[in-house]
Amino acid sequence: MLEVFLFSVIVGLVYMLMAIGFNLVLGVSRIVNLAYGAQIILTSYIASTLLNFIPAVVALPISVLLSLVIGAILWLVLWIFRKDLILSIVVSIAVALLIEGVLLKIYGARLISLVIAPGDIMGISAQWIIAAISSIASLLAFYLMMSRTMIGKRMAAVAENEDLARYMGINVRVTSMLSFIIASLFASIASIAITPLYAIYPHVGWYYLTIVLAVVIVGGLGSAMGALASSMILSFTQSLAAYYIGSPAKDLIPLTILISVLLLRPEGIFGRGVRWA
Amino acid sequence: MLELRSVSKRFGGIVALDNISLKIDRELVGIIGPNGSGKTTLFNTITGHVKPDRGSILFMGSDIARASIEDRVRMGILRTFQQPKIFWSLSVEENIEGVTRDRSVVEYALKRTGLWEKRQRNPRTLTLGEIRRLEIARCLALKPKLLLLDEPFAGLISSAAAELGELINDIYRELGIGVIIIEHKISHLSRLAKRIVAMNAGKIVFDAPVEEAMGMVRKLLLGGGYGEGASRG
Amino acid sequence: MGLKEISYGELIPLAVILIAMSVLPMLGLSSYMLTLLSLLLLFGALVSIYDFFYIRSGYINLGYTFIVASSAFSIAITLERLPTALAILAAFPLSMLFSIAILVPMLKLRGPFYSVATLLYPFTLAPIARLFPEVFGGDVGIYVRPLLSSPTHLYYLSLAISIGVLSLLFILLGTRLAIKLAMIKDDETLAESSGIGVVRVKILSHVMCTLMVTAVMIPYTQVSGVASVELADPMPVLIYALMASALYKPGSALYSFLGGMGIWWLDNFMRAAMYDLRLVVASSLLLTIYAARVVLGVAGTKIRK
Ligand SMILES: Nc1ncnc2c1ncn2[C@@H]1O[C@H](COP(=O)(O)OP(=O)(O)OP(=O)(O)O)[C@@H](O)[C@H]1O
Ligand SMILES: [Mg+2]
Repeated sequence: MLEVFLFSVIVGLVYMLMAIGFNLVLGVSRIVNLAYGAQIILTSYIASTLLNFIPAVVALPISVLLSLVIGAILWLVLWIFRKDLILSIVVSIAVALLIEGVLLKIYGARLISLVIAPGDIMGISAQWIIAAISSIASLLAFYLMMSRTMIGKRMAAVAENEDLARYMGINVRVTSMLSFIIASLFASIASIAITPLYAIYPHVGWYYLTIVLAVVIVGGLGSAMGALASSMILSFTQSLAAYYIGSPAKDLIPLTILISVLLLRPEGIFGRGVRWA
Repeated sequence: MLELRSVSKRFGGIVALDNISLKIDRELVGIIGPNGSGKTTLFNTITGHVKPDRGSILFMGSDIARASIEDRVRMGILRTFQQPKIFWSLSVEENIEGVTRDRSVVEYALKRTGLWEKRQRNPRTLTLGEIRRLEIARCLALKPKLLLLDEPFAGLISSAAAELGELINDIYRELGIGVIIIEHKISHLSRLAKRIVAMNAGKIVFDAPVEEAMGMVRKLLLGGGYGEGASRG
Repeated sequence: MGLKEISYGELIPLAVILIAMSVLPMLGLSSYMLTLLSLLLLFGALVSIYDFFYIRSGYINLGYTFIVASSAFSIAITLERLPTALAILAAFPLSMLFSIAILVPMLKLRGPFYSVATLLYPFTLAPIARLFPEVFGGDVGIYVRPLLSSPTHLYYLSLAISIGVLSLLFILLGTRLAIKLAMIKDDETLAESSGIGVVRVKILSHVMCTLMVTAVMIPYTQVSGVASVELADPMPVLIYALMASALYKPGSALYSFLGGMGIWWLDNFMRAAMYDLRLVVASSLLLTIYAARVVLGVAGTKIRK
């Protein structure tokens, strides 16, 4: 039981990390990036290949770096379509499918997993410890960046009021790109943290997308406590449902929560980030 | 015909409407006031786009504070918006056809506003004056009893503004309806409206016949208490 | 623009193709070919329905496949339990029942909120099917009781239903419903202020859409033989519908029929020649088409202020 508890906490932290990246892009760039789930699994796929040739200490940073490059390209595509929110949503779906298609072509539809650190440390799986440490460290770094650095303040300014930020001399485009790359970084770290815990196949990107949407929507934008709470609620209810009802229930939970919240209080969803069309 | 009883509306910390009471008959009334004084919000509460926090709104004797936007349209409360709003992807004629099934009404509305010849046109090729007239045509097609026009003259060259003013006046006389016009400059209203309501910071500053109102505005201007004719982007 | 979007002249190619397709079976086509062509027609009809009700209204329903899949399930479920005539009659209310779920976001959400919410719907079907395998057959789906044995008869049924759907859409294009949908897309606030019963229009179009999809899914499930959650995947139905409707005059319903048939043909080719690249090609095509629309300046899901 303690194991289930610990596992749920760690998974919850990773969910939060994922969600914060999505949220950042949504807030700063007003881009609804539905390819985010695909981005998450992409890093693990790259890493799984590199790990065949080089040790993890080299392979993991390289795969994160590669993911960031892909993230930058993706930003460019979405930035072009950004003026029309719905158009950009469709385009992000196309990108998600493109990534899924490429992964299917290269790796096939079978499950893959990442093994970074086999073995235990004091009876706890080393993979779990790595997942916990990397997500806590990233969340802390994010907090420090937003509260202490110039970049963080610029992002906040753009998120608050883009036109005003532009008048203040902030380069909105660069800020938007940076936010997207930071989000991609979080997606990558989350990917490397969670794939050792849950195996993936190319279609799983959509599942992670629903997780991210659920955390963002239930937790509300801009509220760290909200995001933490909703990540944990999601992770724990999933564990419990998987245990008591069966594994399909685990997939159904984020969707059910999401749809109900979307329907019950749509205005709270994306906060101030996105205007009603 | 229309009566507002102590209507209030806040947006967060901003008091947009502060205990407004107002009675309007089948007359042409002008509303003036500086930016952010609550003029548009007043319209929004009458048409149902904004729900007032307090107060009641009576139209032809019945309380409409709870009625939907569409119900109020059906009762004859019609409006235009501060930013021109038309259906941009439809032709001029379809803009009207969409709101009424009666062919003769479509024809009447377009002819009355002088747009009949341009009915096949893409609205993007219209001038601002024509767009404003198309908005009025849409209202006409819906059989208005009370017509609310939000800064119809803003941005128009003087000849187009004069033409539009004449159209509004003619419609008002022909249909015998109530018309409320929001304007920044009292000068546009001086020959149209008989009665002027001035607002500031969500309150009615004065409600007076137009001649008197002109004098008061002048006095306020000299006293520096009132931003008449503030230029807008 | 609006009503005059489709001129009679533009209908000629469509008419020619439909007439050609009605004499095709007389050329002694193989039953494989007939099956393929039946799917082509039905898919074209699905795309046209999507184009009219969703692209036209600006309510980009990313959960269209939820309606498609739940209609298929409704048909399979009723056919399994009831005599044929009754089953077909019962399939319509049953699929309405399913699709009410997706009407709710249409009434409550707008623009991107609506799109994101509807995107989630199809993903619920797979876990539901796994939780209730006796009803939905889990991942495999349920077998659909065959009604017509001859591929030629099935082909003609598909043709008849497609032509029926197209005619209905053509009639609808001439009604004020078509203008009202375009008005809602242009500016929903203004539509409300113009006395358009927006809620009524949405409910009406949702009901019509579901009924039409169900009608199409009757021959479709006959041809495919199963109703499964695979139908709920965005690929192919949603992705190709988004693609086909963007090709020419979005929202005009009839042209996307041809586009849909063409894309389905291409898809069939891809399945045979390069199955593992199908997703890559399809998504790249979708990207290209939308990029081209932006470059050419004809993109238009945007609601102007
Ligand atoms: N939907 C809203 N949400 C928040 N604040 C609003 C909203 N609508 C109006 N306000 C605020 O209420 C106040 C009154 O606005 P309103 O638009 O009624 O003024 P106005 O007299 O029409 O000004 P203008 O001459 O600029 O059109 C303003 O401070 C405005 O910012
Ligand atoms: Mg105003």
